[in-house]
Amino acid sequence: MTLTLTHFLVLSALLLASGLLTMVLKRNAIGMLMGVELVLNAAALNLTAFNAFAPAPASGGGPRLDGQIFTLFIIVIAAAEAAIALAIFLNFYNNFTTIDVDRGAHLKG
Amino acid sequence: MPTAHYLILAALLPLVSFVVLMARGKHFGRFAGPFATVLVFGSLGLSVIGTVTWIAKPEFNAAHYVETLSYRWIPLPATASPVTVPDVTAAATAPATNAAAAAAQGGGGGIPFGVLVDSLSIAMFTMVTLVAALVHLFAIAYMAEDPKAPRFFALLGLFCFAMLGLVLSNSLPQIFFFWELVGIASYLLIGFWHENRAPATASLKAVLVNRVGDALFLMGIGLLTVHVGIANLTLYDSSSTPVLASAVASTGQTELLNPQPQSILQDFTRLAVASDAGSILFHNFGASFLGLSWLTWAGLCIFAGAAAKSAQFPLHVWLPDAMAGPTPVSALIHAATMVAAGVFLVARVYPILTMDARLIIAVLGCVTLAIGALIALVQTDLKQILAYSTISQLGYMMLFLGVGGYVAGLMHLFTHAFFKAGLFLAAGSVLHNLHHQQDLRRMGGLWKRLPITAFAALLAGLSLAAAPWFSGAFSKELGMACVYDFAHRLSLGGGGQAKYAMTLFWVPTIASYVTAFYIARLWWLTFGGAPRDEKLLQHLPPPHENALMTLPLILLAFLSLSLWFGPFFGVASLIGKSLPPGVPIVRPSEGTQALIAPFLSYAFAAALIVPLWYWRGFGLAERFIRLPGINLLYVWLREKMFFDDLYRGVLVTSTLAAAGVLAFCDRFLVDGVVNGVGMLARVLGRLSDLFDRDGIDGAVNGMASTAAAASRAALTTQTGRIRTYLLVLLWALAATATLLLLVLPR
Repeated sequence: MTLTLTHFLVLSALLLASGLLTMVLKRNAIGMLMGVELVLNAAALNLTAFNAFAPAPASGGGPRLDGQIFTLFIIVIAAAEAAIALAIFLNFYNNFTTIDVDRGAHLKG
Repeated sequence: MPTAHYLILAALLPLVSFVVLMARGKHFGRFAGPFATVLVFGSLGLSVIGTVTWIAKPEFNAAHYVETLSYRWIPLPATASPVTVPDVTAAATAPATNAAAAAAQGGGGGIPFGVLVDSLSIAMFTMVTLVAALVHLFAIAYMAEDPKAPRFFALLGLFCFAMLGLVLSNSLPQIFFFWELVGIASYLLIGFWHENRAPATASLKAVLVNRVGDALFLMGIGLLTVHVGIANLTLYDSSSTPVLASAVASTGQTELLNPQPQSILQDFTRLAVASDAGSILFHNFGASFLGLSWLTWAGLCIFAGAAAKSAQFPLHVWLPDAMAGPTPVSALIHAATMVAAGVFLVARVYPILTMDARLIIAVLGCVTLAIGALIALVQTDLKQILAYSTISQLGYMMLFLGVGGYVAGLMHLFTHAFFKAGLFLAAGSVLHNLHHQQDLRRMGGLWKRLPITAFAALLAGLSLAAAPWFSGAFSKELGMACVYDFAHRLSLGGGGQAKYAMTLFWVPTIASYVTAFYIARLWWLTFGGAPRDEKLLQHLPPPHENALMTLPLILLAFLSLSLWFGPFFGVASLIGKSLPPGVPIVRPSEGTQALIAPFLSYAFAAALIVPLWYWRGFGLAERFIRLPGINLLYVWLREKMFFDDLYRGVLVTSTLAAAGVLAFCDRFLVDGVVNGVGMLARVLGRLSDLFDRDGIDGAVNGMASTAAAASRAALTTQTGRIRTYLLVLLWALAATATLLLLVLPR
């Protein structure tokens, strides 16, 4: 049995679903951040998989690297996003002495 | 200088006293009385000078002479003055020329303000100023302790001015003007102590009763105006022509010259038959009404005014109550002068009184004198007795005038003025000494305390009782002779009245016995015998008779002597000269006088039994009035024949009831309509308010609240929970994906 693109896509979909469920179900802010990372990783897996299975370009001139480049950008952006999110959580904790996101419902209308 | 000028000046002096004391009375203090008295004595002096110049005139010896002055007074439009003479028969031109003359004299059409001086006004003027001067003198002492004395003397001045103006008036409207003025002065003086209830109600009663008479008086003037024109209401013009009398004569009224009563009294049944129903409603008094001619009605209406002022039955009820005023006022106004104004008025219009009118006046006078004398018999209040005595004597005067005794009636007015003023001032002296104790039952034996007063009251009382040699006897004998002549002639004539004619003579004759009895009773119970209430006397200060009080008393007492009025001073002939020639009056013959004189002399004897009857106070009398029959009569007289109760029960109650009904209508109908309209407006306003608030405001607010509700609904989605938002996002993603899977082609 060979690995096909479909296997990667299913794995990516499972990752995406876990990440989304984690974001929705976790009350802990850190947990939510972890969910976000899972979603981003699912996207990154997709890009890498598509790059690997895509046919070589007709013009020649070296391997195709578009997916990999995208994935690198995503990892960088995820790092930046984590830094910002952690800063937000710190402030959240300062204000509410907890990082339970349900306690901070100040945006309620 | 004509006599009139002295008299005008004399009439104005009291007015000065009134104005000055009203404006500056407080500054005068106890000198207000002397000030007013000096002015009134000035009046008296001027009137004496006027009288002397009058007598000194060469025209005085003529049978009739008048002096008139005329000033512009009430202007009237030219259309009002022409005279419509209904019956152009005899002297139709006479009133027209008189009207023209009067108009020219008064300076254009209208009612001139005239001054009339004739023998009657001269005599009245002197009498009024003399009594007023003496009463002023008396009042200085009487009112010495009263803080309101300046006002009192001011009002006395107003009264004197009005009375003198009345005496000098030359036309009926002018007489009415001053008539009202004396009424006001009387009202103010009766209610002088208005802090107390009795004087306040008494003054109101006097005014209300006089209103009745005054209204009729005005109707009489109106009746004359309709028939002879307003320009002819003047009594005399400058050429001594009696304007009113000749104007009346020229309207074709011949009954003035008839010595016998014409219409009703021939046969009383004609009263009802003579008028048909239509003429009662739509008659313009062209000829007659209820069987009496318009002239008779005019005379009776004017007499009604006189009857109210002179307290004649049935309008006599105010005078006894008027005794609530200060006693000098009772003496001057309610005994001597103002109440005599009614008699004076009847004398002034005497030339136009028809026989019918005079007969009714005589009958009413006769009733009045009987009522007055009988009620005076049993009263125990000093001033009440004198008040009823005044009513009775005024009845005599009216009777004398009614039967044609013009001189006798006026003579009685003059003699009565002096002796009654004397009696009232004596009463005032007694009351002043007894601290206003008026009850005869607590007096007695006062001659020891007040000898001069007792003596003066004795002389004046003897005059009232018509004792020989006193003035009362002189005028009463003269008058009763006229009454006898008249009644005798009437009884010889035909008709229904012949049978009862002599009643007119016998009633006053018997009443003169009653008069002698009640005045002797008054004197004896006050001054004679022994004191009945020692306790009352013990609490009083030692008696003092002020010279200011005794001097007027003595003067008035001596003026009660016959000598001043008899032939020597010629007062009777003076009065006789005040009638224009041709007016029929009764001059009793010597024979008649001799015939009736004994009746009246015996009357005086009735006075002599009084000391025996009341020797031991009221004991005998009290036993007498308990006899069956007598007791009912006694209660009837003591309660003043129930006139007050009758009037209260019938007139006052019905008036108040009518007023109550009107007040009810006012409150529930008129007010109801007004309040209903108000209520309606309020309901409409409420509705409009509701529409405004719930309709217009409701729409605006409704939009706002709808928006608010919508926004509230929208707000529920904003939970502020980040996980909710994520969930929604997820569901939306799932839904979109599902949709795309279903829609997009494979």
